[in-house]
Amino acid sequence: MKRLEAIFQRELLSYFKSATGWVLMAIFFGLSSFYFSINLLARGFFMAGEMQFMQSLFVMFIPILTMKIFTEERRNGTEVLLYTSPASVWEIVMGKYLAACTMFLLMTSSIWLHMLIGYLMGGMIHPADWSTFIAFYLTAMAYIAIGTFFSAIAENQVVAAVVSVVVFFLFILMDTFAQMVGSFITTFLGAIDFANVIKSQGAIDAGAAVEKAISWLTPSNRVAVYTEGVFSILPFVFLLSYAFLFLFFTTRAIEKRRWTQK
Amino acid sequence: MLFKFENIIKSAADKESASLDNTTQTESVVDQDIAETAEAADAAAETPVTAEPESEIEDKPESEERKRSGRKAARKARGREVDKRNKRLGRFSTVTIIIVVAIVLVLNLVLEGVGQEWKWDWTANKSFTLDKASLELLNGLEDDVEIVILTTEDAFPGYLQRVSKVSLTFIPDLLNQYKLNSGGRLTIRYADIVRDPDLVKEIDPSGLQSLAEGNLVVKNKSNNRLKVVPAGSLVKYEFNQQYMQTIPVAYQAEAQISGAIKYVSTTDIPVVYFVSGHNETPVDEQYSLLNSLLVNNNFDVKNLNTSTGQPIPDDATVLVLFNPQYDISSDEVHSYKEYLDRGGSLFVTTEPNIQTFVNLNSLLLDVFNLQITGDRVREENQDWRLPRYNSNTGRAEYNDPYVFLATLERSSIYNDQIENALYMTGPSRSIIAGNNARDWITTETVIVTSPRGTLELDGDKERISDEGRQPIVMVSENVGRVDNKSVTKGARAVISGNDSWLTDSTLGLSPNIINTGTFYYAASWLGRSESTDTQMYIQTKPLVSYSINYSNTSVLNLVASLSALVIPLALLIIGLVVRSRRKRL
Repeated sequence: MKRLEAIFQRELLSYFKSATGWVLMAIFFGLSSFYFSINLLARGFFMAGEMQFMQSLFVMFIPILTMKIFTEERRNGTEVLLYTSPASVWEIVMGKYLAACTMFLLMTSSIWLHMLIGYLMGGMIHPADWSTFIAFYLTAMAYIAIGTFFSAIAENQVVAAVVSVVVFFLFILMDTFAQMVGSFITTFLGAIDFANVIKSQGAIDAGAAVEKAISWLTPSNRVAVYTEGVFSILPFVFLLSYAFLFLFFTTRAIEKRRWTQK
Repeated sequence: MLFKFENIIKSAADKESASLDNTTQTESVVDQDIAETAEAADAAAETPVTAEPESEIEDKPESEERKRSGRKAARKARGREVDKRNKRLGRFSTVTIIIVVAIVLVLNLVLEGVGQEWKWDWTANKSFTLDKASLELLNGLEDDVEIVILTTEDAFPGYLQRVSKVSLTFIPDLLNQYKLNSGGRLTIRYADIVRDPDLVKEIDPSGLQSLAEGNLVVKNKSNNRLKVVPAGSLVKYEFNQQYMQTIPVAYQAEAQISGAIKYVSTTDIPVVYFVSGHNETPVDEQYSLLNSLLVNNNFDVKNLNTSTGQPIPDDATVLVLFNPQYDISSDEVHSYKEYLDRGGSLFVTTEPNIQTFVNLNSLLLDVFNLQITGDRVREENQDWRLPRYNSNTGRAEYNDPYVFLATLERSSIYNDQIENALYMTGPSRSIIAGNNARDWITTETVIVTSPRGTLELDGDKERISDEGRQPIVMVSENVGRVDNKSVTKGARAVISGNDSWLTDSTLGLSPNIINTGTFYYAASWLGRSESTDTQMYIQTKPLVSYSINYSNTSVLNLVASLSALVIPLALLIIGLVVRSRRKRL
């Protein structure tokens, strides 16, 4: 645990010892405040909307936050030192991951500040705002885990960031992709069914099932209920599973790097 | 947890390695031999030769050769060993990844199956949870009721999304709550009438209803009575002057669906007539929420102009006059009297104005012993006054004695203690009991001021009455009688000296406002449906407000520029300073 703590502290401080952390905070603050200010000047106070807006920008923030997690070690030549340290791979990965999550939490300080300002000006903080924040942060945790994984497998920061951006964009397009695959399956089953074994409704159902299954994997779809003010266990477990899986993949990727050291 | 998991993985890895070691023992022995040979070769190559100098010259190249080939063999052997180990660990890694992904997937799929109910509605007015009224309605169902959704289960969420400006993803869940709480009386069915148009005939054999895709049809299976709930009506919209467009103001899915269930389960439906002809405030301008409330709770709502001499229809249960500006005519007094004698009910709201309502007052005095006075009600206790925002100071002020909180007294219309107060956002007249007390007439005060209420007598600000609880709304019941002249049935009246407490602008102030409920109980009492509906009504659930009541523009500008420009710029400058310092290191 102490080793994890040491890695966590070192990693968190590294965000503030370089310009990355400050610039990220500045951009996050600027964009969220832009949304907040426009609403405020129109006498509106819509925190759930602000968080949803910022969530749509994860595709930009998270890759910048996570791209350096492992690639920086590789660039500086400290990767071997880290891997040969007494800390286990899980401790290394969790230390770095938790530092990125904490950094993200600090970035969201603008949201808390806006809540306070709005409240002091007579606005109402609705329960849906709290559940939206949970959804917002859980999604960020899952995305940070994905970014961490790509940072572990990529050779440099740019590649890690670009791959993360592409994957996050795919998440955005997942529903469209799901529809395309669903209709492809329906058409395909219809085309190959020369003997008319499959009923047309069966082909449609199969396509719909595939579409549903792909959509099911999209993190943002799962937390939609949170933004309405409903707290559900299923999306909570789902997003934590996402984070766990990608952290597990990260440990495997690092282990692989260790073996391949000849 | 993760570290425990890591330990499990590690021990599994050790076992895997052990088993792999056993199966590849022969290979290892061979590898070991190669390695030993190579090491021996290295050692031999490095051993110094001291004897037979003649042969040294001949042996030297041979020994170098052996040395080189020995090292090569050793490197190859080590490489092969590493490759094998890597392959082994690679296989192990792939297997563990597959196992972990499978476990996580199965866990999530199992939760999808069993954990659908593990959710909590955090919204202020429990928008996505069935109210007590709906639960009681479902509990009391005697007939089997079916809700038919006229589309497929997969297409339904998408359809709701298309017809609504707000998210309605909770509707399938809400329908499921109806099913679960009905004790098996209510069923849900999806019917795709686009693919199978014959279903329309099956659902509505009479063909009287217009069934369209995406609508919900609530049907009593015993008597085939049905009501259509259009998907578009699950949310209430209103035109907003500020944004110049219709905006969603309330969820009314539960109100609509429960109302429909109530409708198909009951046979006796009271009819409310909104009276016009005396410059009453139009219902769609100020009373649309009340209108929805009545419709959703199975009152039939109709309009009637009594000033044209039109007789009051036989099916009328309640006549409602919302803030008439003129008195009723003497002819109308006769028709109203006839209507009341046959058991009708009357609901009147007024506000302070120059009108004295001579004819209306004579009717009220005769039948109900009530009087609308010309006295304006004041609230002297500042704690009970409602705030008015001063745009100059940006602060709330409590100096308007005509807008205040009032209390609901226990009466025939609602006999429980209520802690909350009613919002009276406009001026009020005083309503009093007259001097026509009869054994068959009972009058009760329903809404009153605090003990520090006063009256401006005849609206004169200089003539103020003593302090006391001033009645604003009174009810009266004439139980009917048989005398030498005629036979009368019981009649009921609710007379309100304030109109503002029922307007849309007041009812939209807070989701917890009790004004709506008070009106509902009054309407139920007047419609004589209180025996089945006492203490419960299904109301629309207003969407939450996302606005702030802060009018000081300069402060708003300052806050906006501070948060959107100054703070981000400061953070950016810190970042640049950190960067330049690091460069100098």
